[in-house]
Amino acid sequence: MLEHLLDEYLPLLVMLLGTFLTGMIIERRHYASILRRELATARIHHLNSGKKLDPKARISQSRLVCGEAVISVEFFRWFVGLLHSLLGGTMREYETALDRARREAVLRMKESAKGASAIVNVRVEHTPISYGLSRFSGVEAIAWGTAIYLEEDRAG
Amino acid sequence: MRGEYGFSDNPNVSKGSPLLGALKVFAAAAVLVGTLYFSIGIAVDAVVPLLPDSTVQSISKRMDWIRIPSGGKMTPVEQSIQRLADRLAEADPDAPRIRVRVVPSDMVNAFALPDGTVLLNTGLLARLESENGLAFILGHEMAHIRNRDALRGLGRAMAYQMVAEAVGFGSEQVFSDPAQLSELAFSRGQEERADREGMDTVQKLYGHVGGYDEFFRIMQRERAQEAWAAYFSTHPHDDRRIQLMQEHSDDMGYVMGSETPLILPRDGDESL
Repeated sequence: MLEHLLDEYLPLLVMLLGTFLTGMIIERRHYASILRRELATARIHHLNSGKKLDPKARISQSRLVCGEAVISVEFFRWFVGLLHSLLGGTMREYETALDRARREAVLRMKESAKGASAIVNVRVEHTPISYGLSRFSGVEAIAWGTAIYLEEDRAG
Repeated sequence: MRGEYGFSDNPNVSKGSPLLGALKVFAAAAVLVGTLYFSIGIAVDAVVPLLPDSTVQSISKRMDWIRIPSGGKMTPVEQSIQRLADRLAEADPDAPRIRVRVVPSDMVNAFALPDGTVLLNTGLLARLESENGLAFILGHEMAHIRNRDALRGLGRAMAYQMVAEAVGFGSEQVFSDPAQLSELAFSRGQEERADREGMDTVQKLYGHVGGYDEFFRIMQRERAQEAWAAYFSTHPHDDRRIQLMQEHSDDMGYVMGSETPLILPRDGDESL
């Protein structure tokens, strides 16, 4: 009986354990990268308002900047999430993926606006990437806004 | 503005260890699955005995994967075994009428389908030496049919499948695969009851219970061969069954008699 169960569910167990470890390592690394790059790009403010805060500011250039990120949810979290969705409650398995996707998208948006003083009118949207119950799931985030360059920035 | 939160201390991420959270989810899901498993089993066992025979027949007809292809005409071997089955049914008013079908397979086994068809593998027939041994197998399968054991097993399997599909774990393949005859595996209790009742039927025909353990002797010989080990691991309690049948025989005052040799027409012999 035990042998039979082991035969049938050993691959699943290995998959769960393996993907738990890979998922954890990848997430730790990603968060380290996010924190480092958030510090590096901290000079560029991003706001969701488009209002000119300083009426005297002279804008030399403005352009659309966009950042996208697709973060996968590994098998372990997908599986636990599937069980979790049967029972109810906060789907904590998907929380960090959503958080990482959003922050990665904002970072990429900022990185594509090198030299800008700020990005205004920032919007962030999410799309779940999943085909029904297939073992492929993830979160896509897209962040876009208007990068503005002030005249003194251009001169400086 | 600096990056304010990472993996830990992040307001957008639930507190606590993710692994511990996952274990809680597994535990809760296991409780849910266990509750469903037992309640389905109890419900099926309660409903199946109440079904009228016509319902059993119509359910059986719907299980098209389980129907064994037959040319309609019975082979001489099938006719011969059918006559023995009819004699058993006449001797024991409680025994149901069955239809005998022989399946070309080396596996030493017999199956009782819900609609009253009994499948005998050629591998089993080739190893049987006495008519009494065959009668015990037929009586055992008759008891399974009367007790609707196959229907219980299938009812459970079907209910589990429905639940599995409802939650998205299911595959449509399960019930279209004829290999799923293993779904007809019965519980220990069902097997032991069928052993006893089959013995009663055979006693009524022959007046003795000689040869009741022939099937188990064949099984034990086969088990010695490694290739069968996987299958027989699902029948680990043959010795216990022999002992229980012996006890039943003693309780009922049955005696052992001499066995009649089994003579079956050769394959393709149309003269019979």
